[in-house]
Amino acid sequence: MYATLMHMATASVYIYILLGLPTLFACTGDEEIVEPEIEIQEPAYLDGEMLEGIPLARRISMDVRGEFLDWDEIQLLEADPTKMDQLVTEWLQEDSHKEQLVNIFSSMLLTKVDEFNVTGADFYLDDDQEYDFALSVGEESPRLMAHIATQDVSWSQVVQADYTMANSILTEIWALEPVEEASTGVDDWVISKYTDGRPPLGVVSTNGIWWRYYTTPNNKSRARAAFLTRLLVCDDILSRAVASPSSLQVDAQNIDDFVRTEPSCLSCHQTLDPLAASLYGFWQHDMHDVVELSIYHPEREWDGERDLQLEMGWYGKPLSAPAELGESIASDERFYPCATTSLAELLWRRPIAEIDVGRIETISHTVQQQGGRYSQLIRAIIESPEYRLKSATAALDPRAESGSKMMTAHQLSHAIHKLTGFEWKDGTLDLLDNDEWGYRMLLGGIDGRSTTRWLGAPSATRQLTLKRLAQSAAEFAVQESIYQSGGMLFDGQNPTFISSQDSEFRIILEQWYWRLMGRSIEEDEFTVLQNGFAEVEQNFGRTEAWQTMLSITLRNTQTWIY
Amino acid sequence: MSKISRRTLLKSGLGMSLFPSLSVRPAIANVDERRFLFVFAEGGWDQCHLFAPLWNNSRIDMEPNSSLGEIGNIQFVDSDLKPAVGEFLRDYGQRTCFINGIGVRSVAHDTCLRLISAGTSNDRCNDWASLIAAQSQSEYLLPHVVLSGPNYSSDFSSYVSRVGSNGQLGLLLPSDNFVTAELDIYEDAWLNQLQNPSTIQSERFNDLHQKALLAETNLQNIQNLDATLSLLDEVEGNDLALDMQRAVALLGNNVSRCVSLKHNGFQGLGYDSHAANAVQSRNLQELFNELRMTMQIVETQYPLLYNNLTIVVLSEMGRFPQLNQRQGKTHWMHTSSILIGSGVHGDKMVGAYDNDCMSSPVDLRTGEVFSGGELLKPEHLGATLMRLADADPLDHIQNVDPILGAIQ
Repeated sequence: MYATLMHMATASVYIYILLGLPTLFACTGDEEIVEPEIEIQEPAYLDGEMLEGIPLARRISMDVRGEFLDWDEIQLLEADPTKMDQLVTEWLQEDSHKEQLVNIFSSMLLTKVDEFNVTGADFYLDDDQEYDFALSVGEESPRLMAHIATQDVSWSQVVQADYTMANSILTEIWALEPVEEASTGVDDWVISKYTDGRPPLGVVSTNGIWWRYYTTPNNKSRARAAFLTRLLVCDDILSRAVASPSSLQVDAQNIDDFVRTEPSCLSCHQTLDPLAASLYGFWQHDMHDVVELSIYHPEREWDGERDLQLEMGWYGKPLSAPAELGESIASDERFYPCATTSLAELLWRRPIAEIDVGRIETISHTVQQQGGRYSQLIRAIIESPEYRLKSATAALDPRAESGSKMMTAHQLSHAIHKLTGFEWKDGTLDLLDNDEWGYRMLLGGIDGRSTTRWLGAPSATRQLTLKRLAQSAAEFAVQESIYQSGGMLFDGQNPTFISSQDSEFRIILEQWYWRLMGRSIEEDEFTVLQNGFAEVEQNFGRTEAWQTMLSITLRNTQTWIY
Repeated sequence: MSKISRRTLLKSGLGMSLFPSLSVRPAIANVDERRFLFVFAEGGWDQCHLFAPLWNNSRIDMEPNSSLGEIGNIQFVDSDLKPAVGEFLRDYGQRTCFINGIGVRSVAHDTCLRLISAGTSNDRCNDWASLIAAQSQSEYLLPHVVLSGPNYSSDFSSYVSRVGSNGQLGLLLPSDNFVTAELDIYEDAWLNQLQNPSTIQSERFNDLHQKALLAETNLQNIQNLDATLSLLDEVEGNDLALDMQRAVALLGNNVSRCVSLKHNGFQGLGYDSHAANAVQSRNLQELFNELRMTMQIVETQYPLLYNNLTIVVLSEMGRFPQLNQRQGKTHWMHTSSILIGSGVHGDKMVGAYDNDCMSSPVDLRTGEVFSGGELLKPEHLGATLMRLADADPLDHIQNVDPILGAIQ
């Protein structure tokens, strides 16, 4: 079957879609209009069972906003399944959606690291602001991307916007001013503009990425260039094999000449070096100097051409100034397919295979034709059969991996917070968004340096961290419900008034199962829970029984696999 | 809240109803199975400070004030700044093999790390430690523990555990930080009884579910590792010494088959010496000092482990042979690795650097430089480690020959 599917993919017919580009092909007379033809490979057929109804809504809710379904939403969908589209539209407008996008873009940018070359103390921030400092710097770039992704603008703005996003710390330490109202705190991200004369290059013009991807006198911005090609057109130059030079007939001072002439170096450096030359406005003479790092240097924009002894450019297209870089990237034919591939990988939660090429091309082309908004891209991917797959007929189909996904560290943190109100914090330190003192990587997250991909399968430390998170959240939720006279998890009642024999007991469990697992509770499950509850109540107390039952429900694989 | 003891709990109806389903059991480790400690000198060490004795070459800047050191059959770059290298080789040279001239075909840290750790530049890969841990014949509570440094386990992440950069796993281990120990045990048992999905979801779901169950089955035993790991203890010495002690505890107590850790260099300055290359001497002094101390501890306190522990010391790249204007060195695509201990052909040097400080071809059977031989690649190292571990070389190293000259 796998072979058949692969055959379908490779031998699938090509369809030809006419590009509507009237401005490029305007004519004045009766001459025949010849429009370019773009070859789009037809998506390969996916044979399998698809999710639908509430289980599908549960998956979309988790991916789009990192939350379990509300009880009201479940009732709405049960009454009228056609309301799904309306709900998804609403979710795409929620703040939680933006937070989920910040997490997604962070995993692409890898900027949310615990340490940079300078600290908050270098900016005379208080010691207790170090965490907020690193978090703010790390989130600038993904927050800009998330903002653009949720606006009614083309995704090309991600490399052309003349603004960024900033909170109170970034406004304080960098040359930024808010476009409208000033930020009121660390969590208040507002549109802001740099006042240091940097070109309008969207995310390429953010300090956040260049603090993470700094350069050195020997590297001459090449690592930065390689980061941009990987991020924006999915050309991972660093993964190319480098042949050994023919001999060591080079001295360290002439190494730039060497990489320009040595055939084994040219294949990468003819792309990297012109792009690197365009990035010298971000050059810092001292990577530990706060001013050097923080300020754009317009006077250095041409230093790259002199230093690298070539003209700045993007894949052979010359640039007359760094400000032209954004347009060149956005018009690169790989720009939208790369955006599609990167997002699909994360939402399908698997590597993109050869069999996916047709789907990626089709989605990418359609989105671009319809205005290129990122929200359209999200919609197109979550409407794809690859996303909605529950189980593939062919076990060896590489797309089968999307049938079940594991909640990421961020999703667990956010969803449990929204469900129970619990945030795992030490002072202001979010313990699930930090690795120096917290548990982000232990729960399956990424630190941006030694771990760059979300955990793909449960490990012992992930399950232990989940257990402690569940226990803490359950205790918080039950205590809150007791002292705040009921809560959203207990149907508005004080749980200490509910025993396992009360009718309310079943109602509450039924709601938990629908919300967390997208299904009704089975009778044998109810029996295990009811009996276990009675035993814990007898030996430890009713409050502990509710806490433990909520904890095991959160830890249940059917809760965090979606 | 009424408190009951574990004994009472077991005697009570509660215990009777749920505890039998909790299959808490110690790891069943075959003490003869070879264990592996991976030490990363991350950043790129300078072969001209240790592995490449290439004086009298105007195109190569050797370690200042260095000379040829020879202990047994092992030649190295010796200097007063790093006497620990000689001391280590005098004590353990008979169990040590230098593998010189491994070509990593890149000069980018991230890529080279993947290459030297997993033999591929693809970031969806599995490092040697994960491959070995996943193919263990024994059951370990934590098959592969990453104390620090990189880890690539795309397909085998369920075998990998982390402790956190400041040992914060230690805060999660004692149940008392969260609920009483009795309730904690009860909770695991209750969950175990509940997690039996009546409906088949999908192959992928079942795979994730089974891996979760396996991890949770061992949670109580893992929580009891608190004392063994001493993750939150403050000890004297550098981070490397602390990590080495933890690694030996994990390996020696049959908790893990593989442990990975990173050496951050002397005072955390690292190996990536684009300026002030002299730090390489300090780094190697600290590294070899700790390797020697570790071997001494294992030899005296863990005799069984001493016979089956293999230490693998790696760095993702070498350094360009010439100093730059800042007395540093840029990246170089030829590096070395060191094998120590069980199964290793000791008192041995495999491969060499030629006069341009590049890899020389090697006869894989003997490890000797041979013009008709092969240029060493990370894949050769991987195939060698798989042979030592009795593990199948998967994927891209399936058809790669091991360096037989490096192993017994």
